[in-house]
Amino acid sequence: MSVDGEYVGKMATNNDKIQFRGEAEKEASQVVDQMRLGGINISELARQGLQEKLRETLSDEEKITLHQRYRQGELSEEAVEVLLGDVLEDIERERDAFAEATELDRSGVFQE
Amino acid sequence: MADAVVRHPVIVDTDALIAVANTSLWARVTEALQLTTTNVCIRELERHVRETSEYAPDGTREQWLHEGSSTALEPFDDDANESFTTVSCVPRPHGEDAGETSVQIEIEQHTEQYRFAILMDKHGRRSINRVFDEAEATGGRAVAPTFLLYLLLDEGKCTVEEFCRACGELLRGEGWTGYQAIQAAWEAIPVDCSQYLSTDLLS
Repeated sequence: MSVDGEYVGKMATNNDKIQFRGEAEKEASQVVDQMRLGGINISELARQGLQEKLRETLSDEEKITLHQRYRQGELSEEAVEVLLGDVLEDIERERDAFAEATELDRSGVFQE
Repeated sequence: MADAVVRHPVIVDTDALIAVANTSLWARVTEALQLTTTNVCIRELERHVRETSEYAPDGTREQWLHEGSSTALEPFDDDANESFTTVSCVPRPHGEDAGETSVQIEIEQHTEQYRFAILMDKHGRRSINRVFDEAEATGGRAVAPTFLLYLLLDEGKCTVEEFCRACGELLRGEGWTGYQAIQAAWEAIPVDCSQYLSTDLLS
């Protein structure tokens, strides 16, 4: 089965193809595709499934390494999102909350 | 105890207490800060101590829970220590997130008394920040446990090196969750810990 050259966005080119072997998976997806009126979007399902499984396989250490690589410019934002989900957005939100907290009144926070 | 409960502006949940109690700055936290938690969080800490072994191998989650929970309980167990207080949460929540939920209930009921909610879980922080946002005339923020370390740093009660090392300890114990909290803190302060921590966790 192949996730073939469907144009999903302006960046998609033939080089974006991912191919893998899977005779039974090919038959299985084709039979569902034929069963349904309008078929199924095998490429989209494959993308989602791959993303889900890639995320599941990552250990904490690997996630940290990946985020570090992103910070060093070795990994695109899109790839980070595939692998780590909304983490960039989360860190940004946390950073803002933290920064706001640093501005708050501290009376009563410390012991006399 | 119920008639004269002291509510400090900083309220901390179970997992956040465990995280900070496992760092080498905990002693400094107990000397410098005033913290409030809920009876539900205290019960959770006690349960962790009961249900995990003090002989759990180093570096395991079990050891992290056991050590952190028993260390965190000490100042709260000391009735003479007015800097570490426990409030009773009514209604008392149950289930896996009971501690976190109890902190949220407490803040909903006494929003004006709290300015800092310290939680390990980001979803918990997000819902508490909504409570703070919806409340009029109060400015409170829910932040990660790294904020307690930051307070020490900002008040000159620890050095940058000590702060960074404590972040490293928190990171090793809390993994990915801790990492995100630490990244956010480092960006917000901002502080560069790269010279104090090993490169495999830092750029």
